[in-house]
Amino acid sequence: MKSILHFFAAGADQPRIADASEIDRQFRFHRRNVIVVLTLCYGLGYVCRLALNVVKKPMMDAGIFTPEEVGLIGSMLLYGYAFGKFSNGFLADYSNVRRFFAAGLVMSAILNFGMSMSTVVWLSALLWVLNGWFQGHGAPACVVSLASWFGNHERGRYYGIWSTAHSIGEGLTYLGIAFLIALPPKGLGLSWQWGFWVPATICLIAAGILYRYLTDRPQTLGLPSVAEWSDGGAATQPVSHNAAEIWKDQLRVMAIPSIWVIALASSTMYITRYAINSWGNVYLQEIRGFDLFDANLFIFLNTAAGILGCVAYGYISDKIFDARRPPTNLIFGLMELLPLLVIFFGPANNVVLAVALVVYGFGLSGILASLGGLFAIDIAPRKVAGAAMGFIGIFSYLGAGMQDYVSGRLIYDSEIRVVFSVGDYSPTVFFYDYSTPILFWVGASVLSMLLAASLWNVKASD
Amino acid sequence: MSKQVTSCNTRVLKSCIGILFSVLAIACSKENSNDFCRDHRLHHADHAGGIGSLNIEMLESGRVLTNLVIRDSHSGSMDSLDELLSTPSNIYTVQSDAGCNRSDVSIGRESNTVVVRFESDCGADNKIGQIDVTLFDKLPTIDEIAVQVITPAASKRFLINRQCEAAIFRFE
Repeated sequence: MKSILHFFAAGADQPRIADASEIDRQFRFHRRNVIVVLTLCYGLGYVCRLALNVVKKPMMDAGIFTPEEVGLIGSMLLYGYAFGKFSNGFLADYSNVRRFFAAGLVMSAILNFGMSMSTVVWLSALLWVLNGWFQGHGAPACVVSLASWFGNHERGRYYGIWSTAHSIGEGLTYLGIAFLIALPPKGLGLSWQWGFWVPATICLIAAGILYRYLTDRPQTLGLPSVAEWSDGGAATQPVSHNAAEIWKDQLRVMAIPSIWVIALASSTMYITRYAINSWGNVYLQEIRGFDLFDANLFIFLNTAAGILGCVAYGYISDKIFDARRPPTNLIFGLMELLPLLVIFFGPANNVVLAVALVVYGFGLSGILASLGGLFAIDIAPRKVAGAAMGFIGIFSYLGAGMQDYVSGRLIYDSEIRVVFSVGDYSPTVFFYDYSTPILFWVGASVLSMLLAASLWNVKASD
Repeated sequence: MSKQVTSCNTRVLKSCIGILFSVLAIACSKENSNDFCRDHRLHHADHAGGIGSLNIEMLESGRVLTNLVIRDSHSGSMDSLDELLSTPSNIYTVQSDAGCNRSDVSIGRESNTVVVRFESDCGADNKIGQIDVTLFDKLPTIDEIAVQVITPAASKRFLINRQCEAAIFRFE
């Protein structure tokens, strides 16, 4: 046990490198590596989180799970992730993030393999809640690493770049996994189990890349803190890595009122986000008559747009609004809400739908970058960035988890079955009404915008 | 200690990779290639003209309109067919919270087909949970039928074939 804890513990600070040019060189080298590896591996690891969303409809059509059961299983991942992000947020502040993050991906891969072999609700729910917990290693580890290597006035941009990993992962899932499962000619027509095997393999590869190429805090390499380095080596108060002090600061995070408002705003935003991610492709297949591949392709449009959205958010909030997040939150919030109305209540035109999904994805991704953590990290002390992220995260994913079950239940309550008696077979076709869930999803977006707008005058600390 | 931990980690990693490839090998060996039901949707057009159709429309008012078209080649004896079709419950049954009233049945003949129209009234606030279609049990000469079901929220087209456990969608 001691050797395991030692394996995951943060490295000790090394003697400071004397040569200033060597310090510059190492910072440039490692900062480039950090942003590339974190973005790539977080995106790849995401696939193990979203696999169920693509195979959900084939499983429902085959009668393996009802919408309520699938919603329950999906919600378990999100609850596991909520708890995982919270607990791992605290753990990440003490950890060697390279090993911490890689271990999470390996376990997530193993649990995806397990899911491919389960058609029992309680077992799938158990596997998926554990998967959620291990997936919760990623974001805190990434945020701790970003906070260690990038300073305040540039963090928005680099956080935005890292946030594109969400879109990369979602794109890989909605296009790549859908291609495996969709019927020919648009896909390979493989069984739903492949929707878990391939993500598991991808996660193992990502773990290998992380373990090989990611580095620990600058101080473990004999470098100064990023604040000291970006200030040109000016003497600053040494940042203590004393555990007791970190714990006190972590608790102080939870006493900041604006952190709680961000948490609630993020929670309601995540209801909508995961409604589209979890049920959007099913909605397009069930109600709009899309096939599996096209439904996932359209959902991918919103994630692809998100790549630009979070980068744009970071740039706009840093450069145009001088690192003030509230004005940018309002702009991106409207870009998320208005297209949502078009998606569900607009004309039945695929071009209009595609454009609406693109704008929605652009806006959502920006809001995700802010409410999902950036805004909270701005307000909280840097050395407890992980805890701030974890605190927001637990609310976000509790909202998302609650959504998945509630949406599944609302959809299931509308079920009409048409059952054919054909000798030994009983082919059954299911029909659902999404009106009530849609009101739930749109209402959550409105509430999120209002909560975020209430923080108009909150300023960031350094 | 650190070398021992690294060596252990390497062994664990190699074991995981070994398990991964074993599972994939087993999975690949179990994949079925050709399957009548999976491939049939691509060949439906070859015989589409020879099969019947069933349309069920559930209106917001609670009325359920059913239209059944049977090709003469599957209809068997006319008298026995008329007797069968004049009782809607021989073809389908609607399960709802408060029950439904059966009303009109009309049977007509057009070209080489028998066209049957049923109408049930379940009431606007009465939730329909299930429709049981027993057409295949009552008409054993029918092997396949094209179905369209329309609810107030959605509509689907699919085939029901006597050889297949599940409905066939996306047929051409």
